[in-house]
Amino acid sequence: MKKLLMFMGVLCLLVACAKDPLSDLTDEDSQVFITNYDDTVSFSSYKTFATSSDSIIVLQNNRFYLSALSPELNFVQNVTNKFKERGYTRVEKTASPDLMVNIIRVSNSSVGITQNPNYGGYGYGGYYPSSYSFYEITENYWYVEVLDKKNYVANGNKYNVIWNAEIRGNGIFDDGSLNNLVNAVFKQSSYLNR
Amino acid sequence: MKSNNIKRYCQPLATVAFLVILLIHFGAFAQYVPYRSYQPRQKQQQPTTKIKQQGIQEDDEDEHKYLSPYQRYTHFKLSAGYGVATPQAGLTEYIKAPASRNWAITGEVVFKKGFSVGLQIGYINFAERIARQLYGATGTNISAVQTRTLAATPIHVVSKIFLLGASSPIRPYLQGSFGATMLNYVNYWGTLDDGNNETKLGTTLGGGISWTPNPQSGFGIELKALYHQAPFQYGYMTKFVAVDASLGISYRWY
Repeated sequence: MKKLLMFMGVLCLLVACAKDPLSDLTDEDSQVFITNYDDTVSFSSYKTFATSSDSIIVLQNNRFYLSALSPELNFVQNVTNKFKERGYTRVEKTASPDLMVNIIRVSNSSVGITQNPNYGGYGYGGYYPSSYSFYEITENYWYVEVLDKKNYVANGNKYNVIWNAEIRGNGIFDDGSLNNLVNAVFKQSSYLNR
Repeated sequence: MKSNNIKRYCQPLATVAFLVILLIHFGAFAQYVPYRSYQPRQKQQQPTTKIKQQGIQEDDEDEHKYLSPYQRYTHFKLSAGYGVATPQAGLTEYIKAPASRNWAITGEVVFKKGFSVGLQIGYINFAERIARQLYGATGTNISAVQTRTLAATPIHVVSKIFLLGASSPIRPYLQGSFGATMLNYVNYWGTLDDGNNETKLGTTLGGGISWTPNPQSGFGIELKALYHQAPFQYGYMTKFVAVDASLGISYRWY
């Protein structure tokens, strides 16, 4: 019996070998940069852009508000600088810019409920009623979109999104990493220039 | 990256070393355990009479009692192995790195005729980190570090054919199995996961060697290699195919 118990102990050790595959993932490696663009558009046909300089949009569970924390304004400044580097001229919103750049911090969270089934009929007639467990999903990421204001009428009186970028992962709201994040999305968007 | 590789390959080696030390311990322990007393079954009159009728010399009394109980009886065997697995065509498009977390537990009924039937539960966990790359499609670009994982959990009915008798300390065997193979494909883009989880009918074929250094103790060493396959198509994968080799311990009793 002693041997069998030791043997079972070895089996338990083996079973316990499962490991979290992301446990050694650094913040930088966790970051994902997703860019989408309208491949029918010629980005060199636009000259000016506008963006808000004093705040960003925070989108939280289908409602939004403006925010102006220091890292957020730094992020805006980094994006603005990149558009300028690519040859676009910044103008005020009231000056009919060709492009409108929206900078959004998405902060969604949702709570779900799962039901655990009941168990009954074991032992001395014990009955365990159904129980409920709660789980919460949160997602926080940067979202930058570029609207085509120049062709508003030609597009049927609507602003088409011709470019957007999502930045997801750990450490994306750290002040020190903002420049690298913006560089990364523009690096993979070489078509975005005059 | 280098330290990761060292960790990846050292972990199974350390586990195997641990199992071997454990086995040595069992072997030493077995030195102090006298041979399991055997109460012979009540002799059946009919066969003896038959033998006498055929004029064959009756030699049961002395010879029979030296036969191993494992030769005389259908017995049970429990074994556990740990090793490495390498992906094969169909899976290599997704993962190329060998799996260092691969184990299997087998419980079987070993018949006197030299074959066994049992149940095998295994676990093969492939994981590979792909350095940051730009993945593109029309109108979309994604830059990410991918962590590609695939976990296969076969729960199979297994059968073995032993090529030598139960008295032999080394028993090579061929084995085949079939049953449910649960496959869990998760490709992490950074921390975002894209996955699919399915259960398929899988099969394995292979062989191994069962070595019982001290026949009195019931403990032994198992060395085996298996070819796994199951239909599974998702993402970069077109089929689950892998070859694994494992070293383990076994315990048999009657």
